[in-house]
Amino acid sequence: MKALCTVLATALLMSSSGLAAPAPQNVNPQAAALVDFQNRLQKYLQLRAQLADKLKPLSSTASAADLAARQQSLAAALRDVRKDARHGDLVSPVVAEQIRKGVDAYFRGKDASTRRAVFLEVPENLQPVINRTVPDSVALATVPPLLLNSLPRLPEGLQYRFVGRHIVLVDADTRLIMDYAQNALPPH
Amino acid sequence: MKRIILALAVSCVVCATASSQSSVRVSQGTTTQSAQTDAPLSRLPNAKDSVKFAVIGDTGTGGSAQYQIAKLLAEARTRFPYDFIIMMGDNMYGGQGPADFVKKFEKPYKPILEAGVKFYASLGNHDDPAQRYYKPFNMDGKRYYSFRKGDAEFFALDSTYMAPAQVDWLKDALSKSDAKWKIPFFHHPLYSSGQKHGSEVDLRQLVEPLFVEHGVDVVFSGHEHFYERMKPQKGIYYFTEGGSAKLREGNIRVGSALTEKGFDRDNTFMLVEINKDDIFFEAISRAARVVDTGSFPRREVTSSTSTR
Repeated sequence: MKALCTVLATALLMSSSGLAAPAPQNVNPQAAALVDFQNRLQKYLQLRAQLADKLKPLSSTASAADLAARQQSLAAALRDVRKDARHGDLVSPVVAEQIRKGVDAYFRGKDASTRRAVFLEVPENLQPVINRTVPDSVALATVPPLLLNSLPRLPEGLQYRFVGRHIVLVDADTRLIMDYAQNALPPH
Repeated sequence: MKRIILALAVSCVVCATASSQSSVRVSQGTTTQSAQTDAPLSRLPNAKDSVKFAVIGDTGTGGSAQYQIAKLLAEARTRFPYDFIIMMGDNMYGGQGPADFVKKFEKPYKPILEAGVKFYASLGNHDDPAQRYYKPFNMDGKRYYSFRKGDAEFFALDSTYMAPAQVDWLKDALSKSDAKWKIPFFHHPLYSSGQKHGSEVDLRQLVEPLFVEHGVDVVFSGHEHFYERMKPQKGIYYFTEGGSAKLREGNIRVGSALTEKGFDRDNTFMLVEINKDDIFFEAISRAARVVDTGSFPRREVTSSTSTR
């Protein structure tokens, strides 16, 4: 009996002092994926900042030629270090699903004219290709603000944009396509 | 000779009658018809120490209409010495390389730039967000920003990408502003009678409550390629000036309940003057005709005197 009490007391002590083996925790896989998404975006921004430090930074300049040169050199450097980037590296399947859900929720109940207005200026003949820039001659279709509210938040400097039926993740400084959620938009 | 005098007299009467139906004067928050004269650029008080500025929108075509409006803008300054110009976005259509900045901005506005007039740009859906680094646009590297001129604070928004962070910024900036006049400007109009685009209802839902809460009196936008002044909405005057280079002729919905005055037959720009508690405005066409003019007081002033 004495031995049993000793074992129980020891077990209790270990448990209360945190020495017991940790119990498995319930983790919401979607929440975890979103945290991971944010971490990846932050890493991308750190990388961009490091590259920009080595080059001429994108800052106010009176010369449009100088601005274009800085933008192009930063885009080239990003392309170079991310040459192995693949679809899904940033927008994982779970995040893409979250984006699709946000889109579905936004468009549910919207009438045809509202949909038409949203997609009026979406570039249709452009394919989302990672590390390719959205040409400056192509208008960046406006993303409805209330839709932005229902998508995973992006840090300043990165944007969601519509290309065909895809939602692409674009670097606002370079117009580089970083990744995309395929066919996230309804047919239009 | 008697016949000639009679004919001249008749034609003068006809001329005066026709013009009296096409202009609107706003005074003390009410609208009345008034005669339009052919004398351009002369309706503003041009008071000493007032805030004087011009409004242009959807400019960046590099085409002849842009150059003609730019010429009128420069000429207007000899009579109405405005200090700065606010741009409603689509500052650059198509290519945005160095040569485009010359053709679509630096060259048409050269005399104005050389006179030291500052341009403050907002971004439209055709603009590369990197334009915010282009110094002559005075955006200081920011997609959305504010600046102060006398009694007025201007809030340039990026309505092409109104993410929650920008809404938070706007809320904060408006609440901290102690300016008598708070004037947001951005590309997409919250209210519009345009057949092509119409009102931006999504955007309205987010920012209009902030405008109302923080005492905004007047808002400028572009996007629609014409001039329109809306009937006041929740006490706020909305102007669309998106026809300073492009023109969508006949695009204003006839009989729109929103329109107080619309003009979609030619390109336009605006001259605006803030003199203490009143704002005065003129919209001027490519033919140098005043197509709309008027004035109104600040909401705070009108509500305290119960005139609105």
